[in-house]
Amino acid sequence: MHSVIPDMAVPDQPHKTYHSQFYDGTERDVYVVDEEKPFPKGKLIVSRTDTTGVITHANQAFIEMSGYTREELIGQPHYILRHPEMPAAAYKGLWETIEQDKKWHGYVKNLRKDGCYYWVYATIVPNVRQGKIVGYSSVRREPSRAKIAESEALYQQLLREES
Amino acid sequence: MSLHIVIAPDFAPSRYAGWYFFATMLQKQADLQLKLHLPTTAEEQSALIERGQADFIYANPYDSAELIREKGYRAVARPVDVYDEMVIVTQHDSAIATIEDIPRNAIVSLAANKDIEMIGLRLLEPADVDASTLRFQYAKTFPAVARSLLDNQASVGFLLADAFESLSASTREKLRVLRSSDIQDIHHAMLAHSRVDKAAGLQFLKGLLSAGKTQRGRTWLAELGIPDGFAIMLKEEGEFMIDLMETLKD
Repeated sequence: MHSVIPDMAVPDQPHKTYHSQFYDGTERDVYVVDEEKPFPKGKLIVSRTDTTGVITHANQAFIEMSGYTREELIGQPHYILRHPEMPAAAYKGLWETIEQDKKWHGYVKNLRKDGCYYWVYATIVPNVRQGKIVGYSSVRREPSRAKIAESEALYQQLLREES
Repeated sequence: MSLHIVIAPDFAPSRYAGWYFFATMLQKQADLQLKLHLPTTAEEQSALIERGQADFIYANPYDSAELIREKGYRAVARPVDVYDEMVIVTQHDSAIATIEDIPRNAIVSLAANKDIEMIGLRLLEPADVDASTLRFQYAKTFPAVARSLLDNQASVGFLLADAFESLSASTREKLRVLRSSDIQDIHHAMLAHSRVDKAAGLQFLKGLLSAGKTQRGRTWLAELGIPDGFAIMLKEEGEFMIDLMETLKD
């Protein structure tokens, strides 16, 4: 079980407020600012989680891009980064894939602590030790603008279907 | 009986002598007879492994993953704060100013080094450039990659950052860096084969870890580009790096 998710600070900039609910019953107000932060050139965002998605490792690029400190990230569920403009279907597909011991790839819009967002191309692999999944490693890379545009269109359509 | 130690052919030629001196020192500190092999190509390295002449191997991350999973090796030590970074370069006067300018069917010169190839392709993804839009031309060594660019036989080159920094100043001036990696999670590893007896493995590791404790040792480690020496690498750290490499394959 993860600890209490740190609240987002209410942004000074114009923003939208969403009330997010997660699979484990956690609820949280999130603030969304319409400002994209560029993916750091040449870097990879790396994290590891346990089998329930609770963060156990975060590299420096993850800390810088998410806007949280390492202490705030470790022990939190990975959905701390979930942007309300990402459809639930994307995460459902992700979990169904990795729980079957398969690699998952996908384009993801992530929410920063300050309400801004950043796009990534994410790959998640199960960490298999002695034949058993003991956690997951996730590496996020810089996506192309064309792929982001395609993903945005698809996700908007999925969100409309989910609403 | 001698134990064989192989150093992956990823280091610059200027470090060649340093490895000999370091191995001589390590031999004394570990009280083991070590035979050093410095293959100059990936093929030579593979041949040594197949012939059983790689009891210890200082391997790049991609090879480490394969050697641990398939060839009976385990990670025992890692360089402290030394990571495998790479650069994507072009000629200094090239019309390619950014990775977005790389044309379809551009010729990429690269050495037979799988992790550099893989990371290079990942760094080009933001520009929608991938293996299907490029033509690869394999060179034997990293300096040969630089030469192929200077000779206009390729328009883009993939180089280990350390190898790029080791090129002469005049060669570097003729090249332009388009993109540098800054990953800081991927590194070489010293691996030991399971046939190495436990006592010898421990002696080797103790010698390796203590190398940085003397002035002479620090001098040779600095020559190798590993100024802070080696640290123990736990089995789980090796497994984690294998998982990381898996995420970068496609």
